[in-house]
Amino acid sequence: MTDHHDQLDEWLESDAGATDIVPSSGFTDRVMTAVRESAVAPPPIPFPWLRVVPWIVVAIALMGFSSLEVMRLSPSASPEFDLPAAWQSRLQSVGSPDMVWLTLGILLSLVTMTFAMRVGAWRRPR
Amino acid sequence: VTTTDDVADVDRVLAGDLSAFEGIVRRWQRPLVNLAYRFCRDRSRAEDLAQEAFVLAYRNLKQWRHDAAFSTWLFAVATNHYRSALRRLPIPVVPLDSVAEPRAHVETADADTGRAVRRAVDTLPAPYREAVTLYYFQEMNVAAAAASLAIPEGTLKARLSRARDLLRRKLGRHGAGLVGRTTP
Repeated sequence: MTDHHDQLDEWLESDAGATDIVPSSGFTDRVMTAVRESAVAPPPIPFPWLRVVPWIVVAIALMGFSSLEVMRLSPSASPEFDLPAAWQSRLQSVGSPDMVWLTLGILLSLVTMTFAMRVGAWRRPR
Repeated sequence: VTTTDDVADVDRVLAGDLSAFEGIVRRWQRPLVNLAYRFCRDRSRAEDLAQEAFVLAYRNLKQWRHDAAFSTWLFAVATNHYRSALRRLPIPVVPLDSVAEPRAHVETADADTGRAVRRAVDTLPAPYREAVTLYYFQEMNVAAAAASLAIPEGTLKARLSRARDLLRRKLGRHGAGLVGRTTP
């Protein structure tokens, strides 16, 4: 393979025979037991692409639609959510509107995360 | 001898005769355990890895196309498994610089250099170590080693060349006396 065969090649090649591990006496039986267990084990559950793909498509479509809408709106007409007047006055008494939205966002994230973890724990085989 | 035996055993296993797989295990257990040992340098773990490789081979037996030798396919399955297993749980590698040479007893220069070379190979980055392991230690040819690592032959040759450069540098630093002793 190489143009020259140097001392290093010789050392590396000589090591090939220097180490020879003989498998332990019960190795074949252990392998065959594992193979038999594998043969009767149920096949792994495939990832449910059929269920997931439509949601991925919907999510992408929503993201695309939202991006287009945001780009279409002028900066002066940036989207703002109007809460009922009673809510607005109550929220303004708590703090600045930015802080309120930030707190709401964090709370929503926590609720979503807790819900996802509970669903995950419920689905995990016991 | 083994080629026809392998084909016959694979056909029997695929036809539902699980016991035929034992022939494959008996024929290839030693090479696969040795290959695993080359990767992990731990006898017990080598047997575990080889066992897992056999189970993987059994599960994927249908994927073997008869255009390549069964041994090439089996080694590719095993090598791929060993590499991913060691990525998940790597072996602790002691840097060559921090290894003290044994001085307490008299050893031949050959044995010393052999050990130094082996240790130097262990300290190589994974892609180079794997190439050296398959080509030199496992005595595969370029085509078989490249197939086992799922890389083009040119890439394997480049990795071997780079590995030799790194080894010469490492061993030269440690006085193994390999640098400049090129024989044409």
